[in-house]
Amino acid sequence: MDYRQTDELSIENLCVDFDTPEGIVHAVRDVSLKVHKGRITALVGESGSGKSVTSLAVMSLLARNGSINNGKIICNGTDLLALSVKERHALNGRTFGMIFQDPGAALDPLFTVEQQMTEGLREHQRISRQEARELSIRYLKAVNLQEPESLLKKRPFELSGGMCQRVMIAMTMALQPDYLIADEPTTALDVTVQKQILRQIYQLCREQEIGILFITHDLGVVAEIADEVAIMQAGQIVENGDVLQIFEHPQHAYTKQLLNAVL
Amino acid sequence: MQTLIQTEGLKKYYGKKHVVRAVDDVSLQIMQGRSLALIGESGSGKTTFARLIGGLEKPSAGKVRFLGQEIQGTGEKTFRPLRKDMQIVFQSSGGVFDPGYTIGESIVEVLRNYEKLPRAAYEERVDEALRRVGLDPELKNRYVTQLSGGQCQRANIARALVLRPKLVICDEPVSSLDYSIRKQILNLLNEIQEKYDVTYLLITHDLSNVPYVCKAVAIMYQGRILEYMEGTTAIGERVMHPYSKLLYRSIPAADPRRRRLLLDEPEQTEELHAVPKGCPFQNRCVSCTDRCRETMPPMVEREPGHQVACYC
Repeated sequence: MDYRQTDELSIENLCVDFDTPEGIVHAVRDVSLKVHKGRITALVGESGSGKSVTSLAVMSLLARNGSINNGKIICNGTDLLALSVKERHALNGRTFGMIFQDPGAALDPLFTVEQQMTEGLREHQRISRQEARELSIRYLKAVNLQEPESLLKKRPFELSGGMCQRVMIAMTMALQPDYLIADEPTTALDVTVQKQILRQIYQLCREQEIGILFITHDLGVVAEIADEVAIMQAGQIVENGDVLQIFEHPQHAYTKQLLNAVL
Repeated sequence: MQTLIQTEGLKKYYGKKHVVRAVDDVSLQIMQGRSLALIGESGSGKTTFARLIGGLEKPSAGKVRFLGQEIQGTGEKTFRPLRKDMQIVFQSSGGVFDPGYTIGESIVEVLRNYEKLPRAAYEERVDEALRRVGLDPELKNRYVTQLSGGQCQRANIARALVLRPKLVICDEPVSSLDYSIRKQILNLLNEIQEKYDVTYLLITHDLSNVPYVCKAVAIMYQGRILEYMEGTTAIGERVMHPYSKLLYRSIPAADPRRRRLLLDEPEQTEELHAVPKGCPFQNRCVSCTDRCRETMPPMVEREPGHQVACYC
């Protein structure tokens, strides 16, 4: 398949270092990765392999002691690293949406779902409170949540983990981003809920042509939804390719080891 | 074969009006050498059940017998020696150890609580426990922050084993670990039970863990056991209860050519209110009838060693 360069998020030879009291830590070393619109790229690796740092680098959310020392991040044809921090942060939300592993912690327990959803919407779009509310309801329905009106009045701790994660997805999707970075979005959930969330993410990807970077350590999940797979170990991509190729003809020893560890 | 644990009509209700039925009328048996896996989603009452068995929680009704002796109502004096034979491995391995103690000190403390031994013998027992879980005994001088996740969980298992218990309750022992380490820990648990005659109650929501360690499975939903089955080969094909089937259908296939999660009909995502009466699974069940809404189906033996609580 051919893709126009403007329809992809491309990370090229990215290096991220952290300056720590114990010395420089090379968290991400020479990572290249592509995410196409309407496709799901899975980034797989163990904890500490640099998956999350890679995604934070894309969104310019690295901790203060972290820096990008080499490489390019090109999104829809624009080199992001040439932009100012302010310009890059403006992209977050509209261009990049992100959902996290622990949905309970990503939402603020002091505010209702409505306050949190409309705040995000009105930050990015010039709309009234009422319009933001209607938009929220529409997107809550889109992620299969029942009775969105009463849900808006609730606070995160009144919801189950799966519902919180769906609220997060609705919140992110209401801004209609081009790319969604999902950092272990189902790791904290039960298998039955995981199934529903995966279905949701897959539908969004195909129906709304969103490019998804799906970060996970669960190869079972990868096999279910990914189009492309990149395997990461100790800050480097050791193997990448089509999902069938990775599962049926793994080349790198580490990929084989991971596939062996699937229960 | 000795019966380690026997519960009869065990119940634990919380709240002023007993609105939360965390464990509801559970009768189970754990025989020596037949490790049991207790499976259920979060909030199904698995951990409460474990706490009841461990004597950490008082039941609202029902009985727990450990080695033939009832554990409720017995004073600390009679219960203490029983506790020695029953240890718990908790989920968050890091949180179990005091960060101000070395691993060795933490493990010795457990031992000192129950056994009077000369100093050198304590050291020896700690070394032995660490060796059993495949750790270098030198690690006893480290602090918990200096261990990796896998080492930490091994040390946690060593802490439980140091008293040479008969029953070890493992509450989600691998769910906080990376996939590559999970298999190691499960294999380790299995090795230990074969070598040292330990029986497990394995509490998990990850069904793929079960065949590695257990000989029987109980599936729990909203405080009730819906299905009990001996033997853990091809569980997915043998389960009969609609809830168990749903659980097994939800496991990712790990084969990109046989994707199924996305093909399945979407499930009703109705909000799960606790049901006032009848089968707890009625709201999500595809084959629910009026009878299911009225009375809870009893556990009926369908095959030898296979019980199902469903009218289907």
